[in-house]
Amino acid sequence: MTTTVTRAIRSTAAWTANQTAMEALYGVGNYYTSLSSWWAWVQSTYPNLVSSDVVVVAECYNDWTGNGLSDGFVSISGVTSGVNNYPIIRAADGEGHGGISGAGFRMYAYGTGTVLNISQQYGQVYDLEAINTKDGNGYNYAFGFDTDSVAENIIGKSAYRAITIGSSGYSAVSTLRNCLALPAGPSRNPVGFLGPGLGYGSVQLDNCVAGAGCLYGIIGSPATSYRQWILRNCVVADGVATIAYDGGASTGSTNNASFDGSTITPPGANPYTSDVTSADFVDASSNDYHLASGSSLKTAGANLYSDFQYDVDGDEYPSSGAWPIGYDYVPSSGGTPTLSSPTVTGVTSSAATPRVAVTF
Amino acid sequence: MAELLIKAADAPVPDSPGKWYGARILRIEDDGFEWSPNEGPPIFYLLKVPGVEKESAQQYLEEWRHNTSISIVANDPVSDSYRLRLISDRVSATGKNALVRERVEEFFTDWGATIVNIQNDRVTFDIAVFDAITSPRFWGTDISGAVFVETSYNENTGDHLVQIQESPFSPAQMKAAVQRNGGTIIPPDSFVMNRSVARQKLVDDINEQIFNISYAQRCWYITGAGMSALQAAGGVLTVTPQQFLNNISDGLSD
Repeated sequence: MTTTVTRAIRSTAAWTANQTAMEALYGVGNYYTSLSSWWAWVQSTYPNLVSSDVVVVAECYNDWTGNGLSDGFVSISGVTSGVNNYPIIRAADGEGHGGISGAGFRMYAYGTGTVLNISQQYGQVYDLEAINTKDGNGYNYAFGFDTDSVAENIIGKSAYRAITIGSSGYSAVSTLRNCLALPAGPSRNPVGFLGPGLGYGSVQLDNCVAGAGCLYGIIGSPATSYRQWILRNCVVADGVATIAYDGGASTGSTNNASFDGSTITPPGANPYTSDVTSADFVDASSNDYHLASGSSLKTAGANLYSDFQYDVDGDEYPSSGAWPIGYDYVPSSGGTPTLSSPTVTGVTSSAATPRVAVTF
Repeated sequence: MAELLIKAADAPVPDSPGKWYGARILRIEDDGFEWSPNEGPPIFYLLKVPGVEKESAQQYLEEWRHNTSISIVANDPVSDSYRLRLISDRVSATGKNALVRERVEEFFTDWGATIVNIQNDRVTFDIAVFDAITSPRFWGTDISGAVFVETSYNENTGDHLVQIQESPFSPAQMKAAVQRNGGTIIPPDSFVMNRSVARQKLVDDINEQIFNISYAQRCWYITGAGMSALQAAGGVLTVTPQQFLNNISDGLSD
């Protein structure tokens, strides 16, 4: 039976201030003050996740101000992992960003490199934000993924490449959902999402958003028998981008949108052929890409409920009917309920049933 | 003032760029930093160096990757072709982090270049600008089925005018690839690329791809004597800045 080994990523001050609750969750002293030290511990303690039959989890807390935890460039790789035994790095409950940059656990580094690079096969990341604070002069990346990675609800911010998805496996498939790329700042050729180019491996982006600062929103990979680049319900939201989508898209791509969709049709089936504007979002100028109440994007997406169920801030997507394009589902506020007149059935028996209908 | 978190021993995992080797510095924090109880012996050592600023010590966290530059060895202006040499300054004298043909060759061939010679720290290759701008890497896709014809080449300005006579590309793909590489579309089926722009794109892209071949988590490490002193002290040791400098070594010097 697979064992899940969970450790907290917290500052010592925050752990100590909440020690009883923390120890109830994680055990005595089971925290690290950085992801790099946690991962070095994992390598030393569980070098083979498969033979140990464990899943290792780092739960991150929003204990750091400003750009967040300064942890250098963190590379998650080097152990033996498998389809049932892999690392998970996620924000603890209530500690994530909810789709707004700076609102939850975040980490940063300055310079040439990748703030958080997930090269470990089957590695998973949820609800984190990574920021490369250097300008565009250098190979500055926020997130990097490789080989059967899963990422949901992440925000990558860099002046060069925000989120890159590499390739080192012929049949590898990486999946990113509800992710936001912010290649902001002075830069040369900033890219939101960058695929593996001519390499191997397949990538699926679902309900992802390329936001402010993109010169290129989503650069993918031409489809081959060993390389798929599937985009579903994605949006390139930034009107200053030169090119929204580049590099092609595979069969299965559908319901994508962009700032210039009325003139350059977004890739895949059922494209959104109007221009996406800042009015579609709550506050695009502040990197808040939740959908505005009046946005047509709210019901312009394909239903992907069989693949995943929750949006960037935890709202459940509808199980039937249209989905939104982008990372945010806006639940119906319903209306004023009406009550029917009460009825009672079975009054002649001992099981009389009072009944009233509530209609929204 | 700084405190350094050091990996005490090699992680028991196969050798790989992601492996944490002993004696490598994981993190550097200000003096008095509150570490977790787990961030100490036996998995980690803690080295305290009063008098060293955290920021000035960040260089010891450098990942070991290539840092390359490309220069022109020779050129033929008539055919606009070049012999170029890529040199990495992050290869040790004993060949650690050497450039290996199996890892780098595709970066050159995808651009239509041919490797002439490869040594530990350098790759010499030939490239014609026309071959580069009609390569899979330029277009970002498989170009089989495409027929490119060079309509003109102005040796003085360096402009190549290329017509796509048979194209597997959509107009949007064509526009995107040309713009991404700094060219200009000439409707209905041609584009102009300047040699210096094309050459710079090639150089930037190859440099970046080789940078992304990671060799090790860190370049610098604590010397054997330094690690012995840490071990003898029980894994926590305070030293002077000079003692620290005497016991830190650059992997490049190996």
